[in-house]
Amino acid sequence: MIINLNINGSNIKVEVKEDEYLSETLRNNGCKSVKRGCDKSTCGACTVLVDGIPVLSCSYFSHRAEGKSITTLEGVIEEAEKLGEHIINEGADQCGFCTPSLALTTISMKRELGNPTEEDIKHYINGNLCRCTGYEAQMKGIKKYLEVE
Amino acid sequence: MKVLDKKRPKILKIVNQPIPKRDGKKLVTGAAVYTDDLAPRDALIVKILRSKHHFAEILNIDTEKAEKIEGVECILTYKDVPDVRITRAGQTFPEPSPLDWKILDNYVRYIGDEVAVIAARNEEQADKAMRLIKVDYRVIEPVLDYKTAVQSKSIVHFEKDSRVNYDIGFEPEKNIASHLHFDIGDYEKGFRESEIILEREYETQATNPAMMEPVTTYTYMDEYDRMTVVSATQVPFHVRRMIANSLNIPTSRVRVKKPRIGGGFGLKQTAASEFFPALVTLKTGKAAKIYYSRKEVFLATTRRHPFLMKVKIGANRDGKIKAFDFEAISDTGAFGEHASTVIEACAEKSMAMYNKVDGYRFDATAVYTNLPSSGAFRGYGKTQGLFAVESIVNELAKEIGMDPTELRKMNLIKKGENLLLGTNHVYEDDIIRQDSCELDFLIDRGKELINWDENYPGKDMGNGKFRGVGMALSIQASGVLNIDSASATLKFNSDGFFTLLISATDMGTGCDTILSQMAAETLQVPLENIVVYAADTDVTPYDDGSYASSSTYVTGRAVVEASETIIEKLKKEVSEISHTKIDEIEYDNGVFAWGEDSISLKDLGYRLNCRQVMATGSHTCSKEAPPYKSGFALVEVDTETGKVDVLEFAGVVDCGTVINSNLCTVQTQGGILQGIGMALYEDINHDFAGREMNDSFMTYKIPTRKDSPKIMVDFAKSYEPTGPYGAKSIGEVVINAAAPAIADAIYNAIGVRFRKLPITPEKVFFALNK
Amino acid sequence: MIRIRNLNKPKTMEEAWEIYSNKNKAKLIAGGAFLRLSTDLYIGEAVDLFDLNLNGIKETEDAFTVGAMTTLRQLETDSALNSWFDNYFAAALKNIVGVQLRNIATIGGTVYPRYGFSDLITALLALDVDLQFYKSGRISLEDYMEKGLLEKDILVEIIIKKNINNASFKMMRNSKGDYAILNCGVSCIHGKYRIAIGGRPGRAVLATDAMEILNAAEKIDEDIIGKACNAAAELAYGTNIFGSGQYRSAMSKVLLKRGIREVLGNDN
Repeated sequence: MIINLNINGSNIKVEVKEDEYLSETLRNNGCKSVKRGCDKSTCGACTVLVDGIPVLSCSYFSHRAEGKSITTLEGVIEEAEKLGEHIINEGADQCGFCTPSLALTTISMKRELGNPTEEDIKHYINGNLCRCTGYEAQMKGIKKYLEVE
Repeated sequence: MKVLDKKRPKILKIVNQPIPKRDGKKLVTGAAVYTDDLAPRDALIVKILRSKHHFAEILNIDTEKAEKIEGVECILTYKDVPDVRITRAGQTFPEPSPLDWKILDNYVRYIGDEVAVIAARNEEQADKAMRLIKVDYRVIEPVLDYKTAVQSKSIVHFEKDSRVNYDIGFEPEKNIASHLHFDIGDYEKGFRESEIILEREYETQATNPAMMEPVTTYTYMDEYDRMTVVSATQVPFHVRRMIANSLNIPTSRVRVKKPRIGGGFGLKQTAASEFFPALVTLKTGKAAKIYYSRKEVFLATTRRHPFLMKVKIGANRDGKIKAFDFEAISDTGAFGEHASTVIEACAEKSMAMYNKVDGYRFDATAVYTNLPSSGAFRGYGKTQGLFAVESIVNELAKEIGMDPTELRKMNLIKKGENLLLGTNHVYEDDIIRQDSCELDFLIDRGKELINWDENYPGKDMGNGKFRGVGMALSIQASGVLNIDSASATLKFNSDGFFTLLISATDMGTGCDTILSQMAAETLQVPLENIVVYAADTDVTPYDDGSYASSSTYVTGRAVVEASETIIEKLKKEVSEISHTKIDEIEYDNGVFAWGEDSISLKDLGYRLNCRQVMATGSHTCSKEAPPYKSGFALVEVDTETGKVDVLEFAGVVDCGTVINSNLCTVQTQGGILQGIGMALYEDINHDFAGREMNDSFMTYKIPTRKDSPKIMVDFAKSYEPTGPYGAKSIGEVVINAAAPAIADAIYNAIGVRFRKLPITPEKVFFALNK
Repeated sequence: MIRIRNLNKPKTMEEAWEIYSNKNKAKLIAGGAFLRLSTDLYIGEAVDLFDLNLNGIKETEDAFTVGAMTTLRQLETDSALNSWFDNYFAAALKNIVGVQLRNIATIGGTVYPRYGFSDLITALLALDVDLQFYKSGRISLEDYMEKGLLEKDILVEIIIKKNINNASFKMMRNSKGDYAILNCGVSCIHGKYRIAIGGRPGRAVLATDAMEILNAAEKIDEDIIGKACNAAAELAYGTNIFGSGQYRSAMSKVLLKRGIREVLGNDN
């Protein structure tokens, strides 16, 4: 089926299968920041924003995204760089595989919660698993990003 | 044995600084830099049909219907591969592992073992074809319990063509992949003279590295008709050898490249996915790619060897430890990758910190079972061994009524003393002497951070919750003595910048950054003037790969050597250009000066366009320079439910000079959390038919953010003279102390001793409510 | 792989019902979050409920009406709902994997299949909740959990009555991202207790014996609580990789005791 997608502000027509998930469609259309960590709704590495709401693109059917605006990290590069600088300064960018989705979830959290406490932050991003960093340095980077902005 | 320049640099400008990772900006903005991001769009999709039986002979495979599916390019079975056995273990040649693995065999030895390889234009077609393949099996009685594998009538590796390169105690007819037995000193005397002897049994479970990027490879034939393998691998040179050998291609016709890797922790030290797209590319001439599902990563790659350990400790009541006796069985699973080296690593380091004993005896057997293969995972046998040894030392402390930190201080190795032995039975003083060892500081500082004196042993919080503190020590190695080797090449460019060619494999560990720091510091240029190009077997010099904690210590030495050499070579060039004697030329911060004249690197670069100046440094690990770490845990146990929460954890590390404090801190925090995962959360469960049930992050629980405690990290001021800028390794030592520290903290909280991991709420509850 | 041979995207309930009732093997897709739990799933005829506007939480005088396609996250963050029930829903839902999953998983997709592992179902069962089905009409959640439906139907909305506003949700998990080993909802209105226990691993049930003990008592003291907990421990508990039946039985006593104490505390 052919669907109209709005990806990071650009409207494109894409051919998708009925059972195709958004993660596959996005990766096939230039959005490599969307990572496939598990394809089982459990790790968060495929997070994208659909109409501003963070969802797992590996569990979101592409056909359902018709008419909605999809945001991947490629669409918020400036914000990603701002947050990214704080993450890098803490050394929290280890293998980096979980980082794009963490960044997008954090940007979404900032919009949704405004001024979250550390508990709020942990809760919001708990679905973004990381195996490298032990989470501390990421938390430091995120808090600095939220304070400064 | 060569020691670096004894003159320690007074001020380090780039080394020992929290330099941001060089690939950081691209990683945090989601750049397409991982293997699957780079795979050609039209690559054939490779899928694998896997065995549903633990152990079976394939009597017949019918692929006729499957081959007719639209888009299918080929379906390959054991009949389509060369009859060659290799080992998938990423180890130097001659490999210490049995050569017992074939790309496709007519026997399957675990649920998940590869049966057929399907390549099609898209995943749907490959999947459809896979379902139409009919396989007739003759099921064989499997070996599922490693503790009784030796007595089993079923033999996992009965075939005649499996072999070893040298004696590792390989007795496949008894399901033994490797056996190691030795004793050192006079342990019998030690026990005879001991006033107290404890004998305990400990058990550690299989745990999965569970890195965030699955295993993935793509392959293609290049313009010279050479096989190019692009893979998320820790061991590109070993993979090159394995591909060449298993597919009967000359090594010169294979090239292996490594892009950014999304984590490895040892899992990517054993080749897994590389063979199948390579096979398809060979057969079809077309590019092919494979991306393991998370289930395949859990069930069909490799994981930590489970260990059953019987430990005996002999000591006097005043705390002097006199002897150890350590016996173990490990489960190496269906194939023997890492079977011998894991038990060796366990043997040589687990008791190493207690160098004042009369002696110890070690005996371990790695057995085959029809379960997924065990392989390399951070810590590599020492994690398991240290759980047992540090636990029994803690138990001894309790028995004799001594604070475990005081007991250790009485018995620990100190700077200037020798380990009892070096890897592979090396006893030369110069090699086993510890020139950097700050264990006392590690203990004292850890005690400070966790408020040991106030919190030890534990407290009743009054609401059914009890707190306790516990501690343990960790030791690892920095590279494998006399075996691990690496080279680094520097190329001088016409604008005065340098290209650093290395084959150490950054998998998030930051070695690209750390090695650049070392080069920049030695060359006295800004970091931006070092361009790193890594892990391409056609271009970059040989390195074993990033495992055994070798990249900082071994490759680092090679980098420093290459840097020093290239400055000398450039001096020689300047001497010729300036017609001055080489001794009169000085180099400082990017400028060569002689008399009143000077030339900058940049200008020299333009002058030297006609001559390419390069230098290669090589190093083989030639000293035992293990890093050390202390781990201190504060836990709270809810006695009503059995739930254990780690409230705080302190890790203090002696890794010599801290090359990059941010990266080292984060490595430590990450390793500690993995250790906590092993202690409390991670496990592999089997159903009634022996099938593994942990195939996703819902069933295999790595700690989440909300599970993670406050982790405090500090570093000892330490300097290892044989290390680059005084550095030792850090990559693995960070995982080992958590489990024994937590086990003792739980004991101090509720008076119950756990010797089998993981320590789940249910186990705690029933121990309290028998 | 998740495979769908024929996808239907009806725009109205009538259309959806037309396809679902006539095609024998048709399957409804609500949030779709749980599809990924399977490694391989083949759906011949899929009926996607996504475009039916079944999303939304409406507050009336007596109840909250929640559309079947409302996401778990919406329930978790709805201020009116959480205000009325004192953050009961936030507590029940907060440990389910992550916000991204909860932005996809729906109430209908969780309740309709009566999943045993669901925290939400246990939380709802402890309240006074009715389900509104397209054909069968309105039935209590309690009846639905016990009997299911005799025939195919489509869940349109759930009605959470406001008559209970003192409730407590307790759960036992190892990792905070885990499935619950056991969960327990306790509510009380005018001294009448309602207790639901789920994750047994079987589907949530009312602990009726325990409820009787509490509701017959003149005063709820430690002795009565103890008796009620013992009754709860007699429900059927099974073993899976997250825990044994014995452990679940033991935990039922702990969670129920804590739940009752919290409810008693709220009352005061």
